[in-house]
Amino acid sequence: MLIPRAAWAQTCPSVSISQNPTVNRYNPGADTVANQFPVRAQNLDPTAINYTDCIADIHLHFDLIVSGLPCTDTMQVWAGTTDCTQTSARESNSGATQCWRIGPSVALQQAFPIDIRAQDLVAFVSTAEPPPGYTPQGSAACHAQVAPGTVSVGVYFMAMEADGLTVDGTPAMYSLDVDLVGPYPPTGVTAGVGENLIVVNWTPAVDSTIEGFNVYCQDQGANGGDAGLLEAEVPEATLVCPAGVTATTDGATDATATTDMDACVFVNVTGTNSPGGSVCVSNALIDSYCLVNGVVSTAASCESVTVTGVDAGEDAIVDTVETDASAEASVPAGTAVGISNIPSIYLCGQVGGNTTSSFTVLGFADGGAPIKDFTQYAVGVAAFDGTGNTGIISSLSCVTPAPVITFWDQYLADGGRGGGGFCALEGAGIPIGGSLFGGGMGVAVLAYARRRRRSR
Amino acid sequence: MTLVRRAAIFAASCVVAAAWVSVAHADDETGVLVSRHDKYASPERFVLEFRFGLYHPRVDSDPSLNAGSSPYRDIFGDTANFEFAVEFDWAAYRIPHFGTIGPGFSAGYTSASANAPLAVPEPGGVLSAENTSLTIFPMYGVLVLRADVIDRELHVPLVPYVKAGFGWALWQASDSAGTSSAQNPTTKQEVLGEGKTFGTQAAVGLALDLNFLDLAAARQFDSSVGVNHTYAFFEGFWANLNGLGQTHALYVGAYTWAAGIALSF
Repeated sequence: MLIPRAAWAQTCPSVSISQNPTVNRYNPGADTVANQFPVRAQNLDPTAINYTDCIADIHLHFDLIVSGLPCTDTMQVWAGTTDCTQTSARESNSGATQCWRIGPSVALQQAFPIDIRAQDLVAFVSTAEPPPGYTPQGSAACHAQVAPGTVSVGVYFMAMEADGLTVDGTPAMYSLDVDLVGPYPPTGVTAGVGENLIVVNWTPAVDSTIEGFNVYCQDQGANGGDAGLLEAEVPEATLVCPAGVTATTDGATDATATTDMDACVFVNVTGTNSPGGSVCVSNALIDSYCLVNGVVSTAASCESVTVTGVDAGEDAIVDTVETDASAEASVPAGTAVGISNIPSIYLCGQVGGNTTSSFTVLGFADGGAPIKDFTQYAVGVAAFDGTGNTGIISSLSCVTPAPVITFWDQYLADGGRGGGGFCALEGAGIPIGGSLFGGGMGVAVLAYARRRRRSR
Repeated sequence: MTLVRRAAIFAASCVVAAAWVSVAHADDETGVLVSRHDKYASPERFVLEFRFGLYHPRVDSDPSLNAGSSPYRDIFGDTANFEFAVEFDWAAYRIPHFGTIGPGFSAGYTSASANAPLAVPEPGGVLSAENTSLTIFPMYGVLVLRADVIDRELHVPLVPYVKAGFGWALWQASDSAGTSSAQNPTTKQEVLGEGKTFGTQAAVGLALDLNFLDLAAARQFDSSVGVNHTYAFFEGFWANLNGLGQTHALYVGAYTWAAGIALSF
């Protein structure tokens, strides 16, 4: 009796699966396999999956080569934060399940491609007991991580026997990082003014994932009012001073003249104007998400902002944002984290380092408009991590740059005539500078002494 | 005293010093002046000073400023700033039974900074967040005369010294956007806030030879790294950086003091 070859080749004890060392990635909405990337800069971990990759649901393209065929095993693809070749890591209800299916079973072939979706890959990075079986994941999977940090995930291509438990031969494994949450936002953001510049200071959160900070500015207009044009251009994301806030450059009750430093003059909690001071209240960043106590917030902003205090004149330049106690306290506790997706037109500075706490803004990024005096700007800061996630933005500060008097201004105004550069020509009459004269004298003395010594 | 007269006096003093040096060098033929005063000591030719002090540039003493104006004090106040400097001296010649004389060069750094006031003042004198600063790199080349005979022959660990020569400084006025630049209200020309200033330099000081604290350690220091003496010193100096030979200059000199540690080797 003849037995079909496939029937008697029951298992695959000598099967070996290998994959391409460079795994290309592509966006199924815009790219094809022929138009692959990574596109992220090398310093932003281009092989990792960040929040943007997840929302775009990029595909990781693997080319697998299988030896040791034929046999009857099927190939299963798993992902996990531990060794998924161990049965216990794949079993649900084991109490220690850390692996999950990221694709349906497929028949083993000598060579075949397979695409893995980012949303499948990240869905359970923080779940102790992922469900059994494979279920395609949606964009909600991108909210799987509850705290900043990189999670190392392995992708396992395994020849599995019919019992669904036994792994045969040598599986292929590919490691990558997953990071779906931006760093904690900086606190205590203050914006001070200078002449055609803004000096931004903040307190960085204690967060080792921070690679640097983005500073965002929005031109609020010469009158400190709403930036209608910008909002019209980019309605989905705007840094704003809150509605209902009167912003002036010389508010009658603000006790300032023509260069009001605190153009975002607030009506304080008692309904009266705030002489000499202001509080510019927070941000509305749509197309962002945040997690509060590990739960995705439905609010447009991570902070439930209420004005609890108003500056009292002395701090007029350093506008502060007061948030309610729970929001403020949540930051160091690690409960308010998330992602900001702020259009680059608002980027007015970027600085590296996780302890950096200051930046001087001279203009918008990429050769954008310079900062101008007598124009109000809303300013906020967000940290970014090593995979390119930008965390939620800080509270905003609104300022209006104005002319200042530097030492050099004062010196010239008082009649000083120095300066002009290190190589500026000296005045007529004494063409040789004093230093040359002095140097010449010294050389002459030494030359004289050496000549005497030589002559002996 | 005019600048020319000051320069003439200084030149004369240089000539006297040079003559003194030549006499000293002639006497050295007797062998009395071998720098190895101690037969176990290494040669001693140089002095390296690490200098710290307070520096308050005399910008407001510029006679070309409007009467009663004080731009430096108005912006930076009256507080002196920290200065750090390094001086390297070559004890080129030993004067018998007196000390050494030779050229020295120093370069230092000091900076004053403050928040710039607003052009239209806020109530309460609130300042802007913009920084304005004046950074000065004072330098000088001097002849240094150290009377170490008291230390070497009378065994009193004190070395008085004097220095005289020429000074100059590079300086830069800057703000948060970089080097300051402003329009001269008279000429209407834009003037960059950086430049150089020349002048004269003089100092008088006293050094305490610390070797007496631990002679064995001092000898070890000499035999291992070649440092003959370690001094703690204090000196008063006059940096007359007032534009010697220049028609216009920012006055950045100071009459002040410095202290520090000096190593002879």
